[in-house]
Amino acid sequence: MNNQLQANIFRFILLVLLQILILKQIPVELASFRLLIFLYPTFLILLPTNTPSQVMILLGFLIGITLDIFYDSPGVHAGASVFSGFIRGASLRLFGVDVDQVKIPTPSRANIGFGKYARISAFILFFHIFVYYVFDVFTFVYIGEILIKTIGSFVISYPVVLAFALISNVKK
Amino acid sequence: MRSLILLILKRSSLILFLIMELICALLVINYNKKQNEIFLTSSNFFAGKLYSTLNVAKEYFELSDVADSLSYENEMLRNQLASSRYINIPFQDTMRRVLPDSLGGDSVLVHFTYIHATVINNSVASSNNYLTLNRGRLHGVERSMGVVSAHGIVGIVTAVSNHFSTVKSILSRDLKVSGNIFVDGTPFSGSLTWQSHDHRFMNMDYVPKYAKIEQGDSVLTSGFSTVFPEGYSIGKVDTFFVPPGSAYYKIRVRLEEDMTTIRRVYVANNLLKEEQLKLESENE
Repeated sequence: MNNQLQANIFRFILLVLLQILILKQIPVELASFRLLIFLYPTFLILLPTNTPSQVMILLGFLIGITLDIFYDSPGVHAGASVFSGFIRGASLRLFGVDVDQVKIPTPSRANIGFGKYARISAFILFFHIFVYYVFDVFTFVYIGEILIKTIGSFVISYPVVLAFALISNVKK
Repeated sequence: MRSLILLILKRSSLILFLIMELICALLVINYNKKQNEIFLTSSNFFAGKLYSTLNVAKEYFELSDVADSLSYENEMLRNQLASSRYINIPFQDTMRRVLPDSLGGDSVLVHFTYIHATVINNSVASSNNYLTLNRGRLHGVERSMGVVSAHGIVGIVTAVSNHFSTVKSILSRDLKVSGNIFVDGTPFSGSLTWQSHDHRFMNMDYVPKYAKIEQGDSVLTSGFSTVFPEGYSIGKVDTFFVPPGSAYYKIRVRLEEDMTTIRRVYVANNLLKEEQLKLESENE
């Protein structure tokens, strides 16, 4: 248990650093839209399956507000991460991961299989990015812009999330 | 009452979720309005330090760009030197009046001083974009000062800490800048906003349609506000049209400064600002 706590703290720091020191510095432009690359939702996806949903929400707020400090956008990443934390438990169940099974504390690629991990992370990542741009634009007048940015950002973020899953090998 | 408590306990994660989202929404609204949530921005000490360290590494890769922009500025400054002008008229006295250096006493006041700064954090992807500078209160930077670069205007200082400051970029939906287009020496002023998602363009309104503007005309700062000095380049007219029934052009302005790669900037300190604002407030 203690080991798992350490692993999650380490993952938190690693993902925040990767996000702000590398991914934030890469300019991605698609048809004149500047897009962000999202990797840090991986932290929320990989939290232990038995984490209470209240804790998921608060941890979502924590990682979101940490990134907001570096992105100068108070509340935007936090809003998206709170949402991702909220839907994580439901999306595990939706894609057939037994959340009560104690044998797989971490829903990682090695534990639940690449196919399931890919589907769960696609689901969470897409909604995470969508909520991010809703908070960013903060009005539904620009719904077209929100959708284009969401899809564009998802297309470039998803390979990064999968690559991270392939490189990291969490078995615990 | 008991059933209410049971309901809250049963739905506690949903309620917590809604409360947290509300907090986030308040943060977003608050930040855009008051622009002084210094604690949560990268002008706070920890984030600022990390970005300065990263900046040291990034600078090595951008040295040639920096040298380009510095030599461009040197060129402009040299153009302003008295020695770089050839006095073509016999009446030397008339010419001297034009060059402030040659006038003594109180006839010329310093209007703006500049504090040079380096951009250590920058964004262009959001609807309201911010930059972080490595200069703060200790260097004389204050809120609502204008920030300019070698190629144009950059933004307005919104928050200051001791060593860092954050700047609301001109690429922000709730920022307005007034600008002039000169047609045959006559300035036509209009209002520039950033309505698109494209970091290369701004939109300009309220230029009357009888002004004969052309593609490629320069847009300069008007100096109406106390923020930016007069005559700084903003961009060039890219496309324009008159909407049916309107008396004004809708102009798309191509920015001169590439906001994505901006590094060296100057914070403009208006020394006569308080006097101007005080006078203007007397009319209200």
